[in-house]
Amino acid sequence: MKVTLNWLKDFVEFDLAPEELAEKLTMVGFEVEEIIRPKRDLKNVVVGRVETVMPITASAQLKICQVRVGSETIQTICGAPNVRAQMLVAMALPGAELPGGMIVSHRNFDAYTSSGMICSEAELGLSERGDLVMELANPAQPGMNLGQYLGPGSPVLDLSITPNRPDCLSVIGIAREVAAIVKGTLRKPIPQFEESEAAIDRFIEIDIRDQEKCPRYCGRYFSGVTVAPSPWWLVERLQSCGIRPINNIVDITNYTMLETGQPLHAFDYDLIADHRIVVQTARTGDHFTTLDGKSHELTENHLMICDGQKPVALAGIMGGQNSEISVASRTIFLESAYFSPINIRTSSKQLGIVTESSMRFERGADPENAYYAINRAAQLICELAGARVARGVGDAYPKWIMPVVLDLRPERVNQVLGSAFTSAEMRTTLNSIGLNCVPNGAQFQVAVPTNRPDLTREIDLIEEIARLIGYDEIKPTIHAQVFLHGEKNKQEAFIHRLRALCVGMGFNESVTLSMLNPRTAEPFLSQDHQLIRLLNPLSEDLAVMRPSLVPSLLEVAAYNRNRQNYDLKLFELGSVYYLQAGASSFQPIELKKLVGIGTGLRQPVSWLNPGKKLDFYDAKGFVEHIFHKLSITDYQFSEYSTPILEPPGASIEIAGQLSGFIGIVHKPLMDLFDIKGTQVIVFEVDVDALYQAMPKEKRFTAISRYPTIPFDLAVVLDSQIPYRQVEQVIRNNAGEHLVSVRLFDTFEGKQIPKGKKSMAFSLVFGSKERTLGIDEVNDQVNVIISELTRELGAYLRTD
Amino acid sequence: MDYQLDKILKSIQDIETAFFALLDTVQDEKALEQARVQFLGRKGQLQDAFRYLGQVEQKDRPVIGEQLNRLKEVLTQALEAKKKGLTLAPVVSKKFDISMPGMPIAAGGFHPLLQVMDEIKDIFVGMGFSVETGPDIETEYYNFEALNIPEYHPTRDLQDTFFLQNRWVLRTHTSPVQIRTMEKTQPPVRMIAPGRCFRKDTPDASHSPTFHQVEGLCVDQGVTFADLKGVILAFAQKLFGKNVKIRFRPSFFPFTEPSAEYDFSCIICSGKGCRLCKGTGWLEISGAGMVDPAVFGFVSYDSEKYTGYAFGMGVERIALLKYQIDDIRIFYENDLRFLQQLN
Repeated sequence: MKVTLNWLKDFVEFDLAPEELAEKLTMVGFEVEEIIRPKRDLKNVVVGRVETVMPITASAQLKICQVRVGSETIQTICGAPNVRAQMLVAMALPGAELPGGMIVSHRNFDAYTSSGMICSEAELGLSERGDLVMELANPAQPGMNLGQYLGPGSPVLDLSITPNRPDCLSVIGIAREVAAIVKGTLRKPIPQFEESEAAIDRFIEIDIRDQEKCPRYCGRYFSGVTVAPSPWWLVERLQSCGIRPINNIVDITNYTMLETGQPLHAFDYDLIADHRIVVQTARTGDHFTTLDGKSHELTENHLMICDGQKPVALAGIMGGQNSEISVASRTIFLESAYFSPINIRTSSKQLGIVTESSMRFERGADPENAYYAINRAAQLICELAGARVARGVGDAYPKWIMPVVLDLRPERVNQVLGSAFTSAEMRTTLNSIGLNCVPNGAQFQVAVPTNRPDLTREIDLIEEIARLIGYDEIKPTIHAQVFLHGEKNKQEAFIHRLRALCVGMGFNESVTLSMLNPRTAEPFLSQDHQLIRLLNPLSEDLAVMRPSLVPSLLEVAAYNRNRQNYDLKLFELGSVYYLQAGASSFQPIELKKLVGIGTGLRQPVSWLNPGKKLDFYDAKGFVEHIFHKLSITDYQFSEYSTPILEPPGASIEIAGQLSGFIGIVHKPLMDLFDIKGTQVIVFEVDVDALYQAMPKEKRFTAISRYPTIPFDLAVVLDSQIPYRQVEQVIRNNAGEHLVSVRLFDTFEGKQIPKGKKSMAFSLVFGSKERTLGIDEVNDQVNVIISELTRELGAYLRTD
Repeated sequence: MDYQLDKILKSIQDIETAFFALLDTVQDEKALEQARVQFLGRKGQLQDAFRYLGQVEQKDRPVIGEQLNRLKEVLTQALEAKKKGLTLAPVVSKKFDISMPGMPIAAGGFHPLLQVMDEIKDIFVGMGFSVETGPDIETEYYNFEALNIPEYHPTRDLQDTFFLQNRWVLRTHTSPVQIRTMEKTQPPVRMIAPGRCFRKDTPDASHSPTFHQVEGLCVDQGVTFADLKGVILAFAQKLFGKNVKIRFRPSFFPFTEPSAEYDFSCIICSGKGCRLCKGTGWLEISGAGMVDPAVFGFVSYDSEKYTGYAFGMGVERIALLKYQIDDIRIFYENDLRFLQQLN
């Protein structure tokens, strides 16, 4: 809501600079987003009085005007239809540079010399009105500088009005707050104008058929109306508040709305059939064309203003084309009503029309104000459009809206706020915004006028007291009545630990958006899942919820590689979202996943490190490390086929459940992300599966005090035999004293027969009770060797 | 008199001169030991000089004795000092070139945004708040209705919402977690809800359709607006230092009454006005207020008996201030150089 300082001053006296006022309004809840100072550059433009106007015979439009500017008279040619003798105009003298960049000079039209120019508001940069020359309404001496005549434009405050304060979508509403701030009084003059003999009832009949949706409807009738451009002062105020001038009648309804907060609508009375107004809901399927030329299909939810035969306005939202004011209008019916907020909101949403009017009604207008505003508008119409107004207001008010009376307990105010305000302070404060307080024992009964629909409970009054006295007056304290132990919940703490584990493995954490392009997401969606689509996405690139973190991280990898960051280890711990395919209802599933990707070098290359690339075994090592650190033992890697991974990929099973995968990202997906000339390793683990499998308590196991005996063993066996089988045979036959098995070398090639491989193990034996003898270790190893031979056809490597 | 005192004293002086001349040439401990033996050894020059004492008259002995003892002292100290000097001198090792670059480490790191999130959590946990979480995909009931944001009410327009089917939405704030927590616990409640939120904002320097919030809630008997100011002040000072001031401005949120926007005094100019605070001296942080009794109605808390405060904050906003970053999008780009710079 924009409001000019001088408009505010019509209603309240104050002596504050715009910045001071802005600061004070901000501190009572009206944030000032901007202070706008109009700039006027009107050098060499003066007030001129048109002495004579002579048409040029050769031209339909052009006229020769003699314009007095001070002591001299200038001859100028003007084409505007409204120029006439005795009119005061804005005269640009030769040499004047107008805001549009035009430099005024002497010109010749046929045989006539023209000096200077009679200007329109558009030419002076004052408004958009360019077809007529500007008429200066107030008397002034010709020759006076125009800037001096107009005075400096008033500073404008652009206020952010919260949706609970419809009353402050008006100059008077804000003036009321200013009055409270400066401890002044709000002056709200009663509109003065002369009514004609004929009473309103003779001209219109108002029939409200839906009292819920329209509790009050006021109307006035005007005759002898001249629809014409508005005077400058009114245009200036409208424009400062961001509203374009149209004609005096429409401008007056807008002006009154800005001033009072009450939306008004003017109909061409002659277009109202049967001179009846019927307020009723539409029939489903009806069509209606609004002022802006758009046609709308209606339902029975939409409240319409109808005449004796047809709808003429979409109630509270926009008028109809069929009853619009035009230059030809001579009689007017003016509407000022109160419509139910919910109905206006529903209709405005359904039809997709938001207007200054709908915005005010849906937040809650003031039924009392409907009456005040129509009189204020009547005053202006009489003054500015030469109209006569019929006696009285046509006022249908079938559903009376009463002011609310609320109980206020002063001690409760301090209980909630932690303040020490006195009852007297509270009362003065509420009085300052027009809330009357009547003492009732230790309490107050507070009468809330109808302009404050947001005040319905004691707590609302408490807020009024707090904000007007000032939040600064409430001193910070610490509530410490009850000791509460702060803690991260266990899941949260676990997530932090997992993240720390990844950081410890050299991964950099990423944060990516939760939405993806469906094309990017689709390949990562498992067959029995479906994507969750947003109904109103920002763009196709962010149209579905991600079903996997892998595409998000691949995007990050591509982004980094395009910036020459080639060696990457990145992880994200976050949610994935999908639907179960074939589910009967929409039931979104949201799961936390830990995903890591890696590409490029395992370690930074240096003179100590030849620079090996990350491979499948790195991915496996990362996951094994996580299991190890979390003391999870019940897991298994199995061969796994998925479109995401280059075969062979591996699944991760935890406690027998598929809980993730490791591998190398499949080539077609790399192409999708335009990652070329490298391979990307990936692991994904279900966070909840890890959490469930992790032992919740850790117990100490005694560390052996006796020395261990290492034994290295190299065997040659069939290349096809997987490692897991070999380790299994070793473990199964190692007796009770095996401490650890470590594969320290594997080799195929020279010295090894074709189709065979060599595997070298480092075994460690030990006991917690005693020192083992070398012989018993040798015996045990012999058992292992003979079993490896028997079961796997392995033999000892002897070279 | 068959001896000259002057001559004896001169020869003692000569020993000293010779000693220091030799000491200057000493480069290692072996040479130092030789010098020690030569001058201070049992058959050394100094011992030799002590023989003078037997050759002079009684009256001259104290003078010579004193000189000899002084010399012994000087020599001993000089040797000590030289020895120390030798030990401290740089040694060029044959095993390592210590100027060679060491083994590089490719360290990992937490995301800068989540580091700030973790810091915020830790501050509130320290003040007795528990951490609660909830789903990103919410029902309209938890995201709106139970927070006193009725359907067909202009307050729904305060946040641009992403809608899914069947009245599911992407949560626009983490406030639904407050409702979920109050539904399952009785007061006293003191919790924060960190997490992801979603709003239909076109990405630009200060908006992202996905962002992070931490919301707080405290409900108990006797909780006041002053307590809210106290907890925000404590938080501000923990995060940005003891000199930070706070400012509460009246505002409106459907789920709090009274409602406020809170600001921190500018962390760059301390309130004098600079570019960061756009000359106002204040940095807008977020919203807060006393829990609206209507919200208590939805979770069946007695709003006469209990009062509570709630506050929110955008993690991105705080991270931008903390690191002095001017574009929010850098958080989601995950450029490795950015991630590593702030670790």
